[in-house]
Amino acid sequence: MSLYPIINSFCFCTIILSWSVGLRGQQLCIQNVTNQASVISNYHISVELFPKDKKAYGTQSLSWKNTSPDTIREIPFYMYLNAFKNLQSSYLKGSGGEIFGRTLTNNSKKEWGWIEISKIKTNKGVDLTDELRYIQLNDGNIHDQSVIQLKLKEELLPGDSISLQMEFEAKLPYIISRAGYSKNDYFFFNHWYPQPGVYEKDKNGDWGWNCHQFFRGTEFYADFGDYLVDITIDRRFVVGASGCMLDRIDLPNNKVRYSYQANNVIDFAWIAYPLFEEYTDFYKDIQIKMLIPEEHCMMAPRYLEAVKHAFEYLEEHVGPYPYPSITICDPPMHALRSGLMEYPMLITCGSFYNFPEGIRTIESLVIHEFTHMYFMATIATNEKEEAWMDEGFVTFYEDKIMDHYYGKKSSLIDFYGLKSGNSENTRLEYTTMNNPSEGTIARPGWEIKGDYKGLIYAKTATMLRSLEGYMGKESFEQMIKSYYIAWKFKHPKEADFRSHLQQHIRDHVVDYDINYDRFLDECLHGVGQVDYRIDYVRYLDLEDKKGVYGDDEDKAYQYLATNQKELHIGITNLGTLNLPVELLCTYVEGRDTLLFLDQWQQEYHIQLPAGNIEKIELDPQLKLPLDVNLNNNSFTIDHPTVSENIELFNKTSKLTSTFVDLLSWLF
Amino acid sequence: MIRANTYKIINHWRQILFLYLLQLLTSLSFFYMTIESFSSLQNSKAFSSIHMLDRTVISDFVKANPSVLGLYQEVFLIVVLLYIIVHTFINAGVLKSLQNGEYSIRDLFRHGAMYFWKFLLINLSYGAIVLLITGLSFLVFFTIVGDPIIYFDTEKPLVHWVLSLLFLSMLVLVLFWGASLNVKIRILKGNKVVHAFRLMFRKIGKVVGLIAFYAMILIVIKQGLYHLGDLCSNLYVAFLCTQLVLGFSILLRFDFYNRLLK
Repeated sequence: MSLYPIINSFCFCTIILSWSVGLRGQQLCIQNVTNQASVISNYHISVELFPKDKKAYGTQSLSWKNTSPDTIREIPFYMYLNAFKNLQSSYLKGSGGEIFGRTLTNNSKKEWGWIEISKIKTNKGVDLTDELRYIQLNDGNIHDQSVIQLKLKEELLPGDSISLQMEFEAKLPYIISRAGYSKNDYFFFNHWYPQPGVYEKDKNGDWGWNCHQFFRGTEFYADFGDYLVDITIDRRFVVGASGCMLDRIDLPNNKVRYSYQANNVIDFAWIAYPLFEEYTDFYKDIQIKMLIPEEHCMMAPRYLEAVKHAFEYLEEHVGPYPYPSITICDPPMHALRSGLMEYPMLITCGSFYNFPEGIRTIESLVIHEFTHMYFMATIATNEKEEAWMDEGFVTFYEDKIMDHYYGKKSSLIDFYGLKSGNSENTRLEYTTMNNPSEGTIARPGWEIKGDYKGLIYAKTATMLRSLEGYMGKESFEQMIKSYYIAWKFKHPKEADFRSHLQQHIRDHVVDYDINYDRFLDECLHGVGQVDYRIDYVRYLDLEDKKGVYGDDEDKAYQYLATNQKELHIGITNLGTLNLPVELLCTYVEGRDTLLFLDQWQQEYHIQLPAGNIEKIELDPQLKLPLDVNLNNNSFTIDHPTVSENIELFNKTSKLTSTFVDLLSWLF
Repeated sequence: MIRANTYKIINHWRQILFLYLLQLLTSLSFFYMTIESFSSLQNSKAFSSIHMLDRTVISDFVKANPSVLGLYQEVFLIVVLLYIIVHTFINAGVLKSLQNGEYSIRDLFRHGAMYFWKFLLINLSYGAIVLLITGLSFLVFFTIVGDPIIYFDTEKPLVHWVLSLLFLSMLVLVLFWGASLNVKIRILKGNKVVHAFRLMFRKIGKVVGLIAFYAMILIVIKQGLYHLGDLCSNLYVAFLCTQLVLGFSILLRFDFYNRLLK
């Protein structure tokens, strides 16, 4: 273990503490202007935390606008915290009482969580509390209370809005996954208030509510809205939240009220912990607020650097960051189960005391979560039904950012001679799945039982790299930029992305004009794998081919010189997913021939004029990383040099000597 | 004192060379196994990337050839067993030679053969104690702590606790090891194990100090070694340096034996 992180952490904490204290209290977060066209819901929530009871009591004033052509008679609300109410909820059912390594069967009463609406009425004073009932439209599990439906007494006509006043109680569970409380008064409130579902067109074009129950393996989906949230809490807490802090008012009894505003967001989360250190920095005018426990403060420079890289890259290659701030929360170890998650303008990460600098999972994770501000918060796809549309895109950009700033072959790990790139790691997460063909990508999260991450994150990102490979970097970037402009603050679906892609291909030049619809069909809805292999490379004597060929009038005359030879190359796809692929033949004299095999075939038998071949490569520029075995993609007569063999020996003996040294000191 | 010690170690150059060659052979066995395993890639451009320990090449290869892992495990076990046997033999010879002040390779072999079974028995019981100590340490740790994520407020005490536990385990191991060294020698003179342990406890400061000192030197050397390949453009120089470092680590071990026996 190097001493550097310790010295570094001491210096950094000392410097940054004085710096952030100087900035504290200033109004530096300037709220973005809301886009009324996209805002469906407006919230004003006042909440007070009672740490001893692990509860928050809130009042919520909600205004919801019917932007559909339908008359609305009921509104379903997400009640996510009820997923942690008992082991029979649809979220916990079938878990065997264990989630993320935590056993729940011995939970005390205090450790369960729930949310309850105690009163709901219209702004005209009509009490609707009795009109609430839990619904379970997905699985009919009567014990599940993750969705509650409000039957309206008055119909809501197209274009009309309804204002509702609610009183609710949110009891946090001991952290199971994401939301909850932990030791030393750690509280993380996400999906903690009643939130309406999304009334939208489904895949068939029919309008209806999209408000699924909460299942493991799924995340969230909600409309855009403007939030004004007042949080009353003990003064000892350090608080972070989505959006900008507008005001801070000291109250009697050592309490304080923070007022936060977040515009044009799909959710609002907040976190409170007395032992957080608070640091503030900026990227241009955007406030970066970091909440980090003292024991992790040596990680702060790493977080800051990584997030600034992400800002820079995404602004250049996708579009401008649409919000005024980002709050990064690094939970203490005991609250790690609340980490690695994204909410609008608030992300949680995960680090460890003195984590080695050469292992950049910290950077990779914070970049991943930050990228969700583009693909989830802004382009708000349905995380429940089409998780690949946010996680896949985010992983794709996480790879790009990491490889760009930290080195392609060493961006994730560069530790004592061991190296691994981020995109390399992503591809391997897909290719080394137990069964890469276990299912399709494009399906709801609750249907995926196998390796969720390998499929949704890694395969999608690898597919996008392949898409970029066919389109060309420039054209792909143009497509993403226009996709971002067209769909920000909206809810695009697969069909929307595909039609956008088709439109782009019609209007712009791409490297290869292939059937992109077929490509997406095969990758998103198929289960096949690609593994092209060079089967054989042969020189054939053409003596026995002399003569006249063809039966029609345009007989092809072929006269071949004596001793002339032809090069035959055989290629087979060992998988079942046939995709276009490049083939490069390099000749010793320096020239080369690049072919694009776009017949979507299982086998290719190629004939080329003979020459002094140096090597033959399939996919030489790795435009098709979906290929699960790259080792059989090339045939070279160029064997390793002596120096390469020595270096191999050198590396091998280094590793062996470490092991042997250990043995020899033990015995 | 340092000079005298250095002279004494230099006088053992034959044994040091012998041990170096032994380690070289072990490395070579891994090297040739690696080359052999990847021979099916001879015509792939991936083959020339193996020297980079390229993760993609290795992962794709193992995925396509899962039997290779089994082969590595088998060879690995064989090499470990062979290494233990040969080193037991060599240690017996080295320790007796150091005690007697006889430096010839012939003496080293003679003493090695003479005391091989006794040393093997001690080494095996030592191995069992290593497993017992580490196993017990972690058993006690997890019995008390349960889930460390929930038990600790921060991971700092966890890290410190684990490090302390490891240090304590190491200390006990070193004491046992040192005692066994004494036992090896004293047994030859007919003395008892308890007496040997008592002697080692008297030398506890020296033992810990030496271990810490050599561990530090080795860490520094290893750190340099891992960066050498990247920094040094001349592969042959890098290769030679690697071998020198290997030799140096053996030299350190000799010095350690020598000091402990005083």
